[in-house]
Amino acid sequence: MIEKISVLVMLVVLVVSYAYFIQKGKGPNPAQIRRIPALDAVDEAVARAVEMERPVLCIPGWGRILDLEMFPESMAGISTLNYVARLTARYGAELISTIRFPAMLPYAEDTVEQAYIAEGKRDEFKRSEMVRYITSDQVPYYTHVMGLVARERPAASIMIGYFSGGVMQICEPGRSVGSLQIGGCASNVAILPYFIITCDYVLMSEEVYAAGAYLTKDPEMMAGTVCGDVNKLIAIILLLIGTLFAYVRNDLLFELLRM
Amino acid sequence: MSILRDRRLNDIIVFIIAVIIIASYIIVWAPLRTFTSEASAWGSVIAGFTMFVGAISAAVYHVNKVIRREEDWWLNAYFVAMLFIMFFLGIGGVGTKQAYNFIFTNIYRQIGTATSALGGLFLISAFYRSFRLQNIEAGIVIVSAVIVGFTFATVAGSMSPLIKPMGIWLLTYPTMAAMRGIMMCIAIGAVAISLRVVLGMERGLRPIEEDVTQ
Repeated sequence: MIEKISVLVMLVVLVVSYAYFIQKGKGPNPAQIRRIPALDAVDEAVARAVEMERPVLCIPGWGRILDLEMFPESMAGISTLNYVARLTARYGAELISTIRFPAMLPYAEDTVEQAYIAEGKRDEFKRSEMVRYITSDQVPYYTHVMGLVARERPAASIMIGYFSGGVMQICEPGRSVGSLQIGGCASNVAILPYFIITCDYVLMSEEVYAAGAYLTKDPEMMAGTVCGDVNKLIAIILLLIGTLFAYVRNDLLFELLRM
Repeated sequence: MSILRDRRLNDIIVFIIAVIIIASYIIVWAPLRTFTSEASAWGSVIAGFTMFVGAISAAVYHVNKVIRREEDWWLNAYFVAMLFIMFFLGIGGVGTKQAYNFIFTNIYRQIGTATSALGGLFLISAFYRSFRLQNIEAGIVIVSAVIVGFTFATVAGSMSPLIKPMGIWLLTYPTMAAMRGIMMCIAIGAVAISLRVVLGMERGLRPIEEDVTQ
């Protein structure tokens, strides 16, 4: 009745390690994440916007939230938006977040509203001004963002989440208006060069998933990131053992993982 | 209403459905698989309704601009007018389908092509900047890119017999190894963040009363 036992085992390892690191996080020696300059720059970006009296543009990616491939990055984008919204609420900077797929809109609106409520600035939250649904189509979407950047001249553009083709068209105008740009994308590796060309700071691959935990220093989110690293270590060990087994032409590990 | 507005209810629904879907992947039992496909269909239906939420949000934003007579407000008015025209043509009626198709094919698509071409200008300026040799890393990337580029050019063989093997080697070993490493890390990171969401520990989706910084 049970198939994919190897998946079940990995899942149990993940959950147990998660529970362990949550407990450890509550203790005197919580787990730490290495320094990520792109995420350190988020505070600087919002501070810059306050000083220049120009808005902060925060795009939580344009992933379809129901797509399994894009969902984790979209969540990372929402976590980043939450942090940025709290900073803009706290320091009084103007926030603009553009949304491409409508399923993302309720998440983004709710996240920004919660952030403003948490900072005691509920009355400053302007739903349709701060979180703007543009369109699902790629060309009209980036055309709108290009126009928005040219008109509003954001002091900072924070783009973390799932991105695909058309990212250059939203990044290059930001660079031309002197915006401090932070970009990040995990699963669509082909997009990373565009971010590297146009952004001041770039998050690569799993750094994107660590964004929420790193920014908030939340022990429970931190535990999720650390347990991901533990599983990465397990994967590396399995890789080494698998390489050794393949060298001696033994299929034992391969068969075990196929169970 | 208070129960429906309680965000813990969201967490409970997400947790139960996620556990069932994960179980259906591991356990072979027909009712679990049926539930999973039904849940996915429900998810798609709910996501479909968000299109209305998006349209209303966009309409509210532009109508407010028109009411406040902000700069270039007539463009916002134009947007609202087109939104309603396309909406009513789209939902149907005598002769509306032809009108909808005409606007979509002869106006919307042409404007899209023109703006897409304009966007190309931004690509050129960015690529020009990226091909400036700024540091050693950029140099390595440019040399690799040129070799791989020439590998697939028809003149590669006549330029040097080394170019094609070098390009194939770059793609087969260093690129493939890096891509596989990145994809493995991404997969594990995705599982970790999904677990956070399933367990209701994702801060962006958490109710404010549980906020640790408060």
